[in-house]
Amino acid sequence: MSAYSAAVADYFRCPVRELGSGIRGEAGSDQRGAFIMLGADVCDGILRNVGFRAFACPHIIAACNRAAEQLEGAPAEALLEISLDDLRRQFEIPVEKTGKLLILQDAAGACYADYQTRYKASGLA
Amino acid sequence: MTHIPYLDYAATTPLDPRVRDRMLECMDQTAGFGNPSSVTHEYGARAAEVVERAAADVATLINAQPAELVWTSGATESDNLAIIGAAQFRQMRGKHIVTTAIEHKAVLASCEWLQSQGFAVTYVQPDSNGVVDPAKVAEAVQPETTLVSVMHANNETGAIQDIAAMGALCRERDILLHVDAAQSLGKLPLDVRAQHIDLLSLNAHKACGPKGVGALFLNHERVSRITPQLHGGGQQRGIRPGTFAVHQIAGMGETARLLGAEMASEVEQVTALRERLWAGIRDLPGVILNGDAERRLCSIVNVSVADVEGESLRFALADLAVASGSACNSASGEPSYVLRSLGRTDRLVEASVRFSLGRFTTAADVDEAIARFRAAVELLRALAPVDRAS
Repeated sequence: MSAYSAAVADYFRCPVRELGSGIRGEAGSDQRGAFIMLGADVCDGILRNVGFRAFACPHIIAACNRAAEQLEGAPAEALLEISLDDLRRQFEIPVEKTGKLLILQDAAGACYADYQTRYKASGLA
Repeated sequence: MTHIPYLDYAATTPLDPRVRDRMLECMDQTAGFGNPSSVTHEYGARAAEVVERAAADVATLINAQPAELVWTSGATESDNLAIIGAAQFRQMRGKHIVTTAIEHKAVLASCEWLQSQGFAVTYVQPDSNGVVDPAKVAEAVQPETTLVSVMHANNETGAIQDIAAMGALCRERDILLHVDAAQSLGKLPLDVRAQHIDLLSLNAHKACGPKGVGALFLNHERVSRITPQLHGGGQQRGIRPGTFAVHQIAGMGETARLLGAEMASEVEQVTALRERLWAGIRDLPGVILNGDAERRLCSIVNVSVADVEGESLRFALADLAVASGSACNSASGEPSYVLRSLGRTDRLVEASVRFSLGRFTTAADVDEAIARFRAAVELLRALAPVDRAS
């Protein structure tokens, strides 16, 4: 019996996404049990090549893949709107992994901060 | 259903059909079902013959006498009986035991129980390849030492210990040597005389025999008695009372007979498969062999994978029947203490995989395992943030 749903399996086994190098955000550590790096290119304020790298369990890898899929083609501000509740429901992520899921949110926040630094502040957005 | 190659022979093995047939012979109403202790009638006599034949087959395999064997329920019971029974019986001579940090839990838990009863135990550490230096065992021995317990081959790494050297040093000091041979039976030559073994734990189910049966060898030249751990009807000289499980014993006897006839060719076959497996994965970045590359069982390849998360690795390998060193793979809920004692970090222990092969493993199974393992490692390493800051 697997502890993971079919949705987790699907998203876990997705081909590795290209990792845009325009903006980058990282969060997590060994102590927190996961490390996530999010990256994307930004064109006219729109996210392209949204990808991630993760040292994490299958639930979190699946959630990263889903979030990257949703962010592709969205405005950069969407980095601040990732719904952890939706991801938790979709992948039946156990409550004890909430801390690891928050790392995804932190990485997205760091990515948006990088976007602000690189693009908005310089008027390139 | 997807075919899942079975590469977990170190946990247990499929029953050989020839062993099953021998057991079934003892389970019908015409032969063998009797109680071997009921020697006054034909049914009991027939069952006694079955038990005697099985004892002869097991004894032949290890160069013992049939009367030196005590039947048990498996290696865990044999370990308990040997260690606790010998330590208690010899406690007037001393209450110190030497063992190693990488023994099976059945040995470690028996030693811990003795510690709770006032015995002292020294745990000798292996080297970084999982091999215990006999000189370190010699250093650990004290005047009060009555027993040394060392496994022949490790169940996780397959590392093989120099039992003959340890046996010789124990003889010089009049200390009993107990050896857990649960993993090595049928894979390594066992000669209790040449290796100076006084107590030897055996089981059948790691060698394509039935679960639920084992044996303890007691060297009658050195061990007159041990303290029983069960109390009952006096069977087996009172050392291990209880009605003989005739069909189980017959199965273990047949297992031993087959090993005696086929061990050399089987070891050759399994060694070739192990090398095929290792050759198929060793070039993957981050793959580290756990255990000694040379002094290890023909059947085991244990690896850790750097920069890969353990839970994801196990999930990615769900279509392979293998074992891991992770906490959640263990009944104790603890990560592998064996791999930790080799100096592996917790992260490498969590991302470890033990492949163990055996009699019915095929080249196709191995090739499938190579392909699935490579795909899993390549996926997870591609996802790994290896250039991360922390």
